[in-house]
Amino acid sequence: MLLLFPFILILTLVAASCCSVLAQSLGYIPAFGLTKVTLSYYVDAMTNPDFLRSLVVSLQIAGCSAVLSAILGTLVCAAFVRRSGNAALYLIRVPILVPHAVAAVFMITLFSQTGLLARIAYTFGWISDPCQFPQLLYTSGYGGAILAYLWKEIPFVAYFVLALMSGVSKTLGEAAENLGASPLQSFFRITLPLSMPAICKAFLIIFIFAFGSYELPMLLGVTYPKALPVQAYLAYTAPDLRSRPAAMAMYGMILLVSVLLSALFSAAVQRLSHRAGGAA
Amino acid sequence: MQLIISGLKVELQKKPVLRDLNLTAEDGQFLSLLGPSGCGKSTLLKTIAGILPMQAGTLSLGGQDISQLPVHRRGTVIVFQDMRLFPNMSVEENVAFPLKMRGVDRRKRLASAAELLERVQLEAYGQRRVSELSGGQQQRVALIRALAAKPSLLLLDEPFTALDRNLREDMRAMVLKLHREFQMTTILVTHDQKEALAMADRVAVMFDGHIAQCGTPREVYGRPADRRTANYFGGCGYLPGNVVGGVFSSTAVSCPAAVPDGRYDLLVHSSALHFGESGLLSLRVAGIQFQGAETMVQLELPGGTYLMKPFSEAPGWSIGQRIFGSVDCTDPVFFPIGK
Amino acid sequence: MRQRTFARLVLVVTAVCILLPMAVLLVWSVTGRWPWPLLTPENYSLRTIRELFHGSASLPRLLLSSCMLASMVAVLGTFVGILTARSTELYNFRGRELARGCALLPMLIPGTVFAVGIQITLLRIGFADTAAGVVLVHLVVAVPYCIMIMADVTRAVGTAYEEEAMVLGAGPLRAFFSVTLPHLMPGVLSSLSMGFILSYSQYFTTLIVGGGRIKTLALVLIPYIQSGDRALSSVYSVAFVSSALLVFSVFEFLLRQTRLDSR
Repeated sequence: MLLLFPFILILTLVAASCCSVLAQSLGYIPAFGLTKVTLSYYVDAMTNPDFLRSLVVSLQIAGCSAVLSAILGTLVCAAFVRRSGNAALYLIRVPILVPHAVAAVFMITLFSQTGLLARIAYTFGWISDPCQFPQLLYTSGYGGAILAYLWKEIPFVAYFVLALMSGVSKTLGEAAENLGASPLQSFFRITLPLSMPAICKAFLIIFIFAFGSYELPMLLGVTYPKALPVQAYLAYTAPDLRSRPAAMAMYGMILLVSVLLSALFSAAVQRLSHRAGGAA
Repeated sequence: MQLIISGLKVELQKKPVLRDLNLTAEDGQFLSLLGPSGCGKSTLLKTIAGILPMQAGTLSLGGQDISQLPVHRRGTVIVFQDMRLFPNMSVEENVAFPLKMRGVDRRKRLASAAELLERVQLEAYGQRRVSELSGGQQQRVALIRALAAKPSLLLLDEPFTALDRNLREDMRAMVLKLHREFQMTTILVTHDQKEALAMADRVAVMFDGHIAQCGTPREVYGRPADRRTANYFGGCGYLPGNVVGGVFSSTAVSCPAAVPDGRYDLLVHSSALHFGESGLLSLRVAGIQFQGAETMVQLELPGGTYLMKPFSEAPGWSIGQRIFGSVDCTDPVFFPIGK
Repeated sequence: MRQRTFARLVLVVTAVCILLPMAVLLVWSVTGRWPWPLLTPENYSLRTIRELFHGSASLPRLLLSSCMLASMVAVLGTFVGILTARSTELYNFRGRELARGCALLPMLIPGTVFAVGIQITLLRIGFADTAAGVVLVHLVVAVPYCIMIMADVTRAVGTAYEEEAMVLGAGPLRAFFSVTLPHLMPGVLSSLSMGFILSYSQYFTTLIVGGGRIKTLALVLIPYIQSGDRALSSVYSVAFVSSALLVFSVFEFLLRQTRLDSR
């Protein structure tokens, strides 16, 4: 179909990028004189404890951010669902305008040991020195990055799920209450199960984004362990071009994990929407 | 249970939809709520059920004020036009849903669901997904799901509009049968005049958020309270004339009139028009439509109004022909002209 | 009612969580000194504002380049979105479900990976380190969102009006532009807005593909944040968010206009 032509172009670019990453990670970079295809870079990565640590950290960040965003975002959505004033809708979309870097600034301003919350604690007499305020930001648990992701992604989930949840709630949820279900029962037995496809889609999008994103773990992270995208970028910009395949192996891992997760998730969502009779 | 509504005012998005509405439905009664699209019938049902808030008025069910009760505690169940069966549950789980909300245990509620399914001849469909059922079957499931909730008041919001003609008649019979068996107060909202007249103990005619008339089907059809109601039912025309000293006289028609002197229109139902030898009223045949079981003839009355009269056999007239008939004047209805 | 108070509580908490950090940032951007443990700044200063407009990274120029880039991405992304949505929603062809599924594909590949991978291709077609290359990469990020937005609107509008116009004598293109497109306007505006914001906020992709030559506001934000100068990073953040908010408000206003017209 001719109409699909521009999109197919875009898909080609995506495909080209993936092939490029994979090829380079397998050692095939003709421009640098490397023509032997080998898995050695991947093997090196998988046996490198630093790399594995980075991988785990990135998975943790992505997992925590996605799960918490999904749950809290759904909660916010539920509160707005049958009584959304226009003000609420505008409010929800404001964090979409704010880039992740600025979200990092927010976290620093509020949660750092000399941030606003610490100062409030001081005013109430709970602490007397910045060091007594818990170190939330620059920790190996990447709490600061997770908080920043939550700030951005909870509104995203709420916005993403709102259309579907509204539709379900205003028809089927209303019918359930009419038949004797309390608002809580109606939400958990009807509205929530039938909104799951959208919630799951949002979850996946956030997970993959947080897993592969660079800005937040770089701004709010620590020297060790580095998040995987940060580690990968450092290797990519290393002056020795022969270490390029090693860097690409890291990007390749990010790619493979993302693709694997997407596939697993789509299968799970398919099964869910099949059971729900396709209300989406 | 008896439903009493008085002085009900409902606004949607700052616009008044129901104005000073009064309605009573006796215990066990079948009431039809009839009116054109947009007059507020669905709004009324949703307000009774508590889905929409009311700005003023009282709402009492079985002697108890229900206006402060939340939706799920009112006992007023609506069967919606779009049925709203839950796609994430099987048919029997849908029917058993109200029982589940009351805490009835699994075996009992599935047994109740099975019994209800049997009443509507759907006992074999319990395990199926809702999407596998036809429109008529889904409507039946929606109906017994509402009954499973043991409502004090059953509200049906134009439930047959989406169905084919034949299916509609089957469904009407089924609703009446279930009403006889369960004996709960029922309000059926419809814009189909025939349906309202055929099914109900009482008919309430609604225009613009207000009840124009409430009475038995015969009363509402035979003695409509105003022109709008009369025109809504159709099948009638008007004969202009004068009332002097308690007698109405018009071209070729005169009858006693218990109204003050003045100019009036006499309501002429098609059933009151007779054609025999002694007819003095001159009518013009304006149109003839063959409709299978009957032939509809459009007649022009003196005064310029038209009415459609059904004949079981074509009367052998031609369009434009002048014929003579007479009007049966028992229990006449007069509407003043010019007000 | 408990439900209403819950909803109100959530709304208030959400509002505070969203607006409080922004308010604090605003204060920081005009701060002279704000040492621990004061709750308000010790003194205020316009140093950062001066730096903003006359400093090395001049705001007007950054705004211009960021806006032009973002506008291009918005327009192209919406264009692709309209076409793709039209083909997957209104036409029935083999592989339609596959096409629909593929629409989300670019979203499932992290932008960092894509940017790094496409470099060699961009080098080959001569787009590396150019604005065109940046536009292309931003486009890939934005397109899935544009398609999603346009798909919903396209499906809702359908072909009814277009067919009617054609039956009345308009050619297919004319029918589309005079009848269907006006109905698609809310979606088009949403898609333009989304595409703009997405491109405007991109950092890593601009960094890799632009090679340092293409400077956007989002790009210079990071070094300022890393510098530790809170006032300066705040003022640039405020500049960014206010400009984004301005563009967003314009689109929202236009959206409301189209909705009013159609009523």
